[in-house]
Amino acid sequence: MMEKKFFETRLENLLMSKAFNNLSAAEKKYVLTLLTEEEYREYSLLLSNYKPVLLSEYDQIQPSPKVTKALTHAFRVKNNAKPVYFNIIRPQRVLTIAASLIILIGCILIFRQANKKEQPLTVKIKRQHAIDHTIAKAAKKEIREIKTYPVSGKKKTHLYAATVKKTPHYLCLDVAVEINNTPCLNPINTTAAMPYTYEESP
Amino acid sequence: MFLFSKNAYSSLTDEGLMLYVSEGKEKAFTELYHRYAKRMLYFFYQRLYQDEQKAQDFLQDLFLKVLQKPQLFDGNKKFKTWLYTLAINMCKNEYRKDAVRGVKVNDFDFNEVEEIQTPFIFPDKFDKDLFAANLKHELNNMEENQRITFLLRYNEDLSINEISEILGCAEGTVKSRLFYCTKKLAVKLRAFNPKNELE
Repeated sequence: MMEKKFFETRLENLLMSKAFNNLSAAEKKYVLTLLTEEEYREYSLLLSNYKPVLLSEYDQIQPSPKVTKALTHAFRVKNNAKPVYFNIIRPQRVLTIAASLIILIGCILIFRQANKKEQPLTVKIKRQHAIDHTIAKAAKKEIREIKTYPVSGKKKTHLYAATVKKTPHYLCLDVAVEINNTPCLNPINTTAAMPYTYEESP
Repeated sequence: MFLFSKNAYSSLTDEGLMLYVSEGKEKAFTELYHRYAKRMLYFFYQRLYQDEQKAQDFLQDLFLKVLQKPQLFDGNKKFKTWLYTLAINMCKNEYRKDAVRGVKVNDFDFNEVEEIQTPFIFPDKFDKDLFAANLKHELNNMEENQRITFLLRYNEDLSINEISEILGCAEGTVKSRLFYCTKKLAVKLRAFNPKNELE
């Protein structure tokens, strides 16, 4: 009976924390149902002083650095581990780094695309003939070359040159019918709609 | 040294850490070591004749067992009780070796004990050093089962349930051993009771 009651948490706590004289009336009443006053004093002396007297000894000893070093070595040998600074790169961190790199590369590509110089376009032309003396007269000089000009600035429109040959009766107009292999739906209008320039032949 | 520095595993339970140890996670092992190294060192120190060097060796051997054979740990049980079971078995093996070598377990501090002043005359005030010396002496004279039970309870703050698991006996047996050990020690140390001084 005593053995079971002795280790009731409440009694054990009292033994470890309070001398008999410091017990309240209720606590004394409880304690005396389990132990005599003398027993309480003896057990309390032992249990309340046990930890404190050993504490100084406990504080004096520390695990040796040699032990920690030996265990570190043993662990790495056993697991064939890389030094810990490599292990710092965990999967989550790898994902974070990869995502950052992808975003960075994406930004670079977009930036480069925005600033990329316009490449000359391949323009397929078709010669149109028309009797248009007004225009023919206006075009006093013969124009021979087709040129493509990247527009300076941010707009991505192009200026196309058309070759106009003037004959006494006809106007021969070369118009773009394909630009970069993409057909122009309305070649003449396309050409006309686009601002164009030309170089005069020498 | 990276291995023995604080890490993110500190919020995990001992059992959770053991899972990582078995996967070769160095920092999990570090965390476990931080949690138990000092108390296990002191446990060995007390059990192995207050020989600090020996205690350090045993501490190393104990954690070598943990890191080399983590698979022996049953994840359904508490790591703490497993660790103490290993430690106690190591001590028992050492006692057996000592027995073969002809060293009596409790012989180690007899010289020291002879120097202990038994307080036939009650001290003017409570002398902690004298009390500690007598307490150790009396503890060492206790029956092994009672002594280890007492140490696990009041040194290591283990519960009755945990002690019964470590020692492989019923909780009632643990309580019984604690009771008799406490009673014997209390009687032996009765002279330190100020009440007795007045009488």
